[in-house]
Formats: sequence, C-alpha cells, structure tokens
Amino acid sequence: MTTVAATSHVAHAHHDDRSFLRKYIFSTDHKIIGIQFLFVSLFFLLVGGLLAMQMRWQLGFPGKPMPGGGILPDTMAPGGVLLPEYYIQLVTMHGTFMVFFAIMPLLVGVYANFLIPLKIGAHDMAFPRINMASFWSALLAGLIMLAGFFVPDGAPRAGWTSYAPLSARPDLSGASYGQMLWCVSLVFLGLSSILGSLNYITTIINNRAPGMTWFRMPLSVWSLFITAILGLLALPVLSGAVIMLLFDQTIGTHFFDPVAGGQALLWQHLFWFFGHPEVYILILPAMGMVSDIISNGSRKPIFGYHSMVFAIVAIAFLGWIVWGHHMFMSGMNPTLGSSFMVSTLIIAVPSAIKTFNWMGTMWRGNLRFHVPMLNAVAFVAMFVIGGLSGIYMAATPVDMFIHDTYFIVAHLHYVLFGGSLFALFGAITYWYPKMFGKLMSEPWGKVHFWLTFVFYNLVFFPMHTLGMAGHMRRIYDPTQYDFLKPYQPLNEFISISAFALFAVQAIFALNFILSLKWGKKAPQNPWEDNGLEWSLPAPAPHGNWETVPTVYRGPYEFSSPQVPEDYLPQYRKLPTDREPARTPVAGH
Amino acid sequence: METAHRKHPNYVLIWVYLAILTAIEIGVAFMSHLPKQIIIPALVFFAVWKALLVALYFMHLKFEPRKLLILAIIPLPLAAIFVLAAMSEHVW
Repeated sequence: MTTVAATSHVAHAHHDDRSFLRKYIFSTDHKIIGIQFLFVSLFFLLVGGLLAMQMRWQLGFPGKPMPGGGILPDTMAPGGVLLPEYYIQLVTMHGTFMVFFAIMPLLVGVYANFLIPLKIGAHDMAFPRINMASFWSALLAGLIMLAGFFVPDGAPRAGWTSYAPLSARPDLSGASYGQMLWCVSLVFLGLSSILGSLNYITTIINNRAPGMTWFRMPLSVWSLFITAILGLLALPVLSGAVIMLLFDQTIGTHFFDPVAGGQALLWQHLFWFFGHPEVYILILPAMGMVSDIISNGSRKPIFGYHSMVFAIVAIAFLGWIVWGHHMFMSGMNPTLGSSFMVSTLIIAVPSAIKTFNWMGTMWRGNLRFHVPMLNAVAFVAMFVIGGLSGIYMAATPVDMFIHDTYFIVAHLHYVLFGGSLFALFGAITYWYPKMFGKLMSEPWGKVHFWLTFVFYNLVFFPMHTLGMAGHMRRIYDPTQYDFLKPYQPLNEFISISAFALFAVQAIFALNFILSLKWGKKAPQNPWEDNGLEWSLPAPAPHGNWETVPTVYRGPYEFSSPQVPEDYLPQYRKLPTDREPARTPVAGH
Repeated sequence: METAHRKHPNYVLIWVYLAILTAIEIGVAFMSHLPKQIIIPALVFFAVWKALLVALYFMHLKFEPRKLLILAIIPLPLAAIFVLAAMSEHVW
C-alpha cells in the first residue's frame, strides 16, 4: 500500500469545534449537505415507491380492496378500494416525487455536493451558505409538495407534466389547492437547483487544486459540471412556467386557457423546453459516476476519455433542441415535428459513443465485480434498452402509435430506474465509506443487486408488450376495455413483480442503515482508486485537506507500467513528474 | 481590490424603475381598443427593457469583465429557438 501514507500534504482534519446544530443541521459543509440531501431524497424515493405500489395494486387487481387500504380516508379509498380521483393523484405525485424529489436530488444534490470539492481538491464549495440555502429550499419544496395530500380536494391530478388547461383550471381537474401547492413547491425547488448549479459551476471553474486541469478532471465532475449548466438554464424556464400556471389558477390570467384566448400548447412547449434538459440532468451525473466506477472495476483507463467529455457536451447541447419530440401528438406545427425528429435521432450518436466506450473500457479488463461495478454494468445494459426504445419514439410515425401508452412508461423507467437508480445504488455503495467511514455489506449488496435486477426487468420489460397492445398510460381500470382484457394476467404479473421489487429494497435499506453502526470500518482507499477523495481519511474530515493536494495526472491511470500496483493516484508524485505551473487559488 | 471600492448602484431605484415599467405593461395590456399588432410589440419592448435592467444591475453585468457578459449572452440563441418554435404555432 503505497498510496496515501506517502503523501504528506493530505489527510489532515481541521479541528472541528462546531455545535451539533451547526455541524449536522444548519451545516455549510458540502459533505454534510450532501448527506442531508441523501437522507431526504431517499425518504422521498420511499414515498414515490409507496405511491407506485398503490397504483400497481389498482392496475393488477382493479376494484379489489387494497391490503392495508382501510387506513386511507373515504375520499381516497372507501373500504380500501382506490377511487379514480385518488388514482390520478397517485400517478401525478409518483412522477413528481420521483423526478423532482428523488432522482434529481439524489444525483445532483447528493453527489455534486459531496463529490465536486473532494474530487477537484477544494476545501468546500465556493459559496457554502448558498449551498445550505439550496438544501433547505429543496426540503421546503418537498414538504409543500407532500402537503398536497392533506388539503381539500387532495393532491394535483394533471400528471407530473401538469398539462394545461387541465392543470390551469380547478373546475376541470377537480384539484385546486393541491395544484397550487404543486406550483409553489416547484418554484422553491427551482430556486434550490439554481442556487446549487451556480455553486457547482463556480467551484469547478475557480477552486480546482494545482495540476487539476480541465482534462484531468474525472468524468463524474465533468458530467456534474455540464449538468449544473443545464440546471442553471433549464430550471428558470420551469419556474417561469409554473408561476404563469399559478397566475392562471389564482389571479385570473389565461396564459394556458384556450377558451379565454390563451394557448394550451405554450405550456407544453415551456414544460418540455425545461423537461428535456431535465431528462439529461437525470442521466448525465449517473453516466459520469458510472464511468468512474467502470474504469475502477475494469482496472483500465477509461476508453476514449476526450470523446466521453465531448459526448457529454454534445448530449447537453442537443438536449435543448429536441423538446418537441414529447409533443408529436399534440397537434403542433408539423414542420417542427420533422426537425425535432431529426435532432432527437442525432442524440443517439453521442449516447452510443459513451456506451461503446464503457464496453471498450471493460474489454479485456481485469474485471472486479464488486457491488458498485455490478450496478454500473447493469446501468449500461439497461440504458441501452431504454435508449433503443427511445429511438423508436423519436420517429414520428412510430411515436403516433405508441404515444401515451405503457411503451413510454417502460422506456422512461428503463432510463430512470434501470439507468439512474442502478447508477445510484452503485454510487451510494462506492462513496459510502468516504461519507460514513464504514463499508456496506458486500454479500448483501450482491443479493440486493441480483434480486433488484431480476424483478426490475420482470416489472418493466412486459410493459413494452402492454404498450404495443395499446394499453393507455394513466388508465384507472384496464378491464373496462375489451381489447385490454386479454392482457390483464400480464398486468397482474407486473404488479406482483413490482411488489417483490419494492420488498427487496428493504435489503438495501437495512444494509445502508445497519452498516452505519455495524459495518466494517473502511480503509482509506477501499476500492484502490485514483481520485483525490481517496487521499483523505474515511469519513472525510471538515475542510477536507489542511493543504490541498497537487495533481500530477488524470484520474484513470489503472494498470500503469510505472508502478507495481495496478492503480496510480492523481496525487502521487513520481520522480518523473513535474510540479504544475499553476499555484493554488485564493482560499486554498 | 479595485471592485471592492466601487459604489453600488441604487438597487431600490432600479426596483422602483422596474415597478413603474410593470405598471405601464399592465396598463398597455388593458388597452383593449388598441390593435394586437401594437400591444404585443409594446409588451415585448418593455419586457426586454426590464430584462436588461435586471441583467445589467441586479446581475452586475454592467460592472463585470466583458468575458462574463459574453458568457451571459451565449444561451440567448436557445431562447430565440424556443420563441421561434412557440410562435410558429400561430402560423400553423
């Protein structure tokens, strides 16, 4: 073990005499804020999962009393039988919680906060107080959204996309306060994301350690950087749109009400102009972290580092000019449809570059299938399936057939669950030692991975078949349509698999919670990785480094012939290395 | 530090300026006897005016290096693409 002990400038904790409240609650430490985001977004992930289970009960066993459903009030499920108006609330809030309060904060809130300073060699974020404000805004937004279930008329009923005029007029949707809270909540969430993005961009540009050039940055940092730019540009559009929607609901404007001279399609344009970059906000950080993990698990440099960076940039740019592919069936201008189809198909190119580069990295590698690696490889496989079904939908004629069916539900879950969540399971396990100083259980991690992988595919793959058969997306009772009756056994099968998928997440939850106390003490660099964060003790101390380390090479120097070990950390100086020209920036 | 000694712009005055422009916008919007061909360009004009005030003073771009100004202008083509796409719905 030659890595860390040899580096005298690292691994020294600042003396930390802050009170409990300042240290763990109102903290400005990027790592604590990352951990706060982790616990809060895991809670919202659980909320989103519970909502999904209720939906699956209704779809698998329509009209039958849901076990435990008796605790719900009669306005939701009299006698345990879900009402249609409650079902549509479940659909709306499941999507909203999963996208805005689970996946997005898990990927960006947690890992941008936790990883950026650690990986670029900074003491903290550029603006620690703004960082704290970002977390508290996000929490406030989540609580406001949750409050939607407890107001008269209940939660919003217009889907997570809140299409107008349904969302703009309470007399159409039946939800008034819930829909308003949805808008207010997203304004606060937008504020949180804008504050966070500003911080991430500024930190990466200004606070990199000496020698940490742009092309020595890990791909996780590159992807979080580009994601932050997307967030900074996209979230204000959403904020503006939801404020307009709120005005339609409250002060009598008619931006989106065609009856009064507004334009319903304007909402769709605004929402998806935000929404498609949002899709990449939900996948780019996962791609970055998966790149780091796959290189580590393959003990090889990442294949095509520069092309990976340019692919991230290309995806991010193209992500701005494809939003109309969500609207092929909306009746929009058909000229736009053709251009959106072409631009969407072009996105397959940088996406394929990344996929082939991951495979190229693994090819003939000295593979180590630890839990993060298993999840990262699953990410690649599932992302390919989700990406391929995306190509189908990019073609307007095909999309017309499968629009708003379960094919879409299958596609988006292959990208967001099979993609983002598998990456997150890997990332949580990978950086858990640096967060908490303990290792999660490897055997239980593998059990969780395999069961999740199997049940996940049993849930979402058959949805392609349902979609091709015309099964509508937000439908309450499939058995009311004769043409869907033959598919009801498949719906039952999916529901039972979904319950199993939900149940096996208890393994992950228990592994996560119990390892905090009883987990094996983590060594400083348990995965034998090259990143700067592994030069720190586990858990990383407040302020990170006494003196920031110097960077001598890129982050993927595995199996280098220059050293006997199969990894060569960025901070390790070899006799042949020259000191970087750049001196530490102010604040270091 | 050169910038540290620079006098702040009067933010409250800018806010009042914005409030007055907003009041004018609302007034214009209620002038139903005017043709839309006049109301819409007028509202766009006032909106751009307000956006410039926010960008120059509240976002400090007037007092920042030119590079930062260019950085702020870069995403504008994306906004232009969006506006053109949304406007094409009317043509269609």
